[in-house]
Amino acid sequence: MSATDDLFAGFASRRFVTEDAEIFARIGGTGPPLLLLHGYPQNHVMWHRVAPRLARDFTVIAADLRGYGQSSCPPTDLEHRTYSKRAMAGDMIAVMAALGHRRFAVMGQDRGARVAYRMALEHPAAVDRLVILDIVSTLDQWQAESKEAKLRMFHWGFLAQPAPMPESLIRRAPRDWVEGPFKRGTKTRSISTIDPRALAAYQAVFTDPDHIHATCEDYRAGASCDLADDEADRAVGRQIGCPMLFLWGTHGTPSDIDDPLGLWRRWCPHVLGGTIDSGHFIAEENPDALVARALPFLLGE
Amino acid sequence: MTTLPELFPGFAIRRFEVNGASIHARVGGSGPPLLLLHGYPQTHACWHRVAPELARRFTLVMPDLRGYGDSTGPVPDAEHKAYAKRTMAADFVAVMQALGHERFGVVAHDRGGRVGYRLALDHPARVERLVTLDIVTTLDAWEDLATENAVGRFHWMFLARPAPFPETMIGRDPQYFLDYLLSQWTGTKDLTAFDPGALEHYRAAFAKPSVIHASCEDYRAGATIDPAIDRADREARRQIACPMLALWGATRKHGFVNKPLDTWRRWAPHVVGEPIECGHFLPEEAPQKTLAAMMPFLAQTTLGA
Repeated sequence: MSATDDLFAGFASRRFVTEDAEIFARIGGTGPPLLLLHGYPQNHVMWHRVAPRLARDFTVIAADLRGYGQSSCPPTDLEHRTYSKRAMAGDMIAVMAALGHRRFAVMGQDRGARVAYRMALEHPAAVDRLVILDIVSTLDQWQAESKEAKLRMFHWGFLAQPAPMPESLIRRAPRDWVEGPFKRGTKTRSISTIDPRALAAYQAVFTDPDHIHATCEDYRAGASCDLADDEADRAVGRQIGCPMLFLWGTHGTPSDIDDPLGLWRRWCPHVLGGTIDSGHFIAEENPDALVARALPFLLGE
Repeated sequence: MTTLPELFPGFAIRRFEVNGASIHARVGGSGPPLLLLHGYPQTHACWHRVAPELARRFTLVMPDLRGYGDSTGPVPDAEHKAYAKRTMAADFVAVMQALGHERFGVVAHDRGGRVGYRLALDHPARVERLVTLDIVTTLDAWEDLATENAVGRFHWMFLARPAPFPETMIGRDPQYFLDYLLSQWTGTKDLTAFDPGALEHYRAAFAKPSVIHASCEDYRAGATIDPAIDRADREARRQIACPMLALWGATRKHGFVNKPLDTWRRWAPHVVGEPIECGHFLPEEAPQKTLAAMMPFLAQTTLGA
């Protein structure tokens, strides 16, 4: 990557060895620790429009989930546990511990938000504040009944097909595949809101067969063990104890779901939230509004 | 390898310019008229194992749906009306009319099954009896998309995404996608159920960009106008009046069909039916069992030759 292509100027690059993965992260800023977790089909680069501002108040750690970006792709298992949100949350606990952070705030988008809420459920001592962007829980999303919601989540069923079908289709058309979510999921229904350098960074990862496979495994986990983990927590009434903010796009994924904030209230009775004028990719489509809503919450104001 | 004419010995080819479409059909046999409608991602060739026996009792008309196989349809429209099941049903009213058949039986699989029940609802005077293979109505199917079904029927959502996204993803290697679906939906999860000649024919048909595009339009209609029409019928309490037999594959893990008879009874109170021990492709995976289940029902026909 050339210096002009680096969207995180002034941020350090670090690699961390966790139990069975190697995690890449950009780190910058000063203040209490804030972990940023990206979604599909992206990587930490998606935070480039908000990270500089957040870094004024926080030590920002923008990590790539296992199987994404510049993180490693550990070999999968038949039950897809390797790419469960539980395993991904474990990576991030290890990364933050290596940096000396036992307790930290987390903001997650899309798949990263699934890792973030799983972390808040399973590591309540570690997560002191939680911001969830543009998702409902995996359990609630699978249960969404509207046809529009089902069509929007077509890739959940597609990517969860047995290997190597989705991998093969994506390998033959990686650029089209990566552009698809932005063409469908942004408010403007175009990729013009995405910085071309960021888009190039997303597309570059999808030329690698191992990352294509790993990211499919993320969704195979989403259709099996992640769902089972949510169901188990729902059955015992496990809840998110820390302060939680849920923001979703007026044209985002939860906009096809009836009362998404109410769905989160079942997981976290004190959750706060509201919409932002945006599609699914809030941090890139409307970064100023995201900062305006998330920063006061993260600062505990 | 067996060619298509060899798979259908004694059958003739006909073409019909009807309703804005050009319909290719294979016809043959003698007796009361019986319309056979194939599904996705196939063509009329799916009937090759049951056609010879059916042809001894019936005059068979086996078209390719508009846009599939050797049939072509018009340029798609924004509302997907051109590939609505109502429109396709009208194609076959016209085809059968052109052959002099005012009233006929229908045996219909998968997408063709959706055309078949739409024909029975929209043109009750035309359909003497109806056999559906491995479907429930489009509306009922959308209402039953819990996790397992949503994964098993991922293509309902995938193919219905706006053009040209699914077309592009499939189009780089159509045979790979076709073979995957055919394997995935059989009871044995492989291609052994398919005659090599028929399989080659499916591959050649699905290699055509026009077929990929039209079949995606079929599913776009299936996500919009088709269930809307079903809903209007449900609200109006319109029902299938003719005798109806519903058969379905017993061994699909994530079936297209949950409790099919209970579901169909809301549309056809007198429906009868049973599972057939095979996957989704009844006429190719279990032709003898499918014939055995259909023949007594079809033999009750009130139609003359």
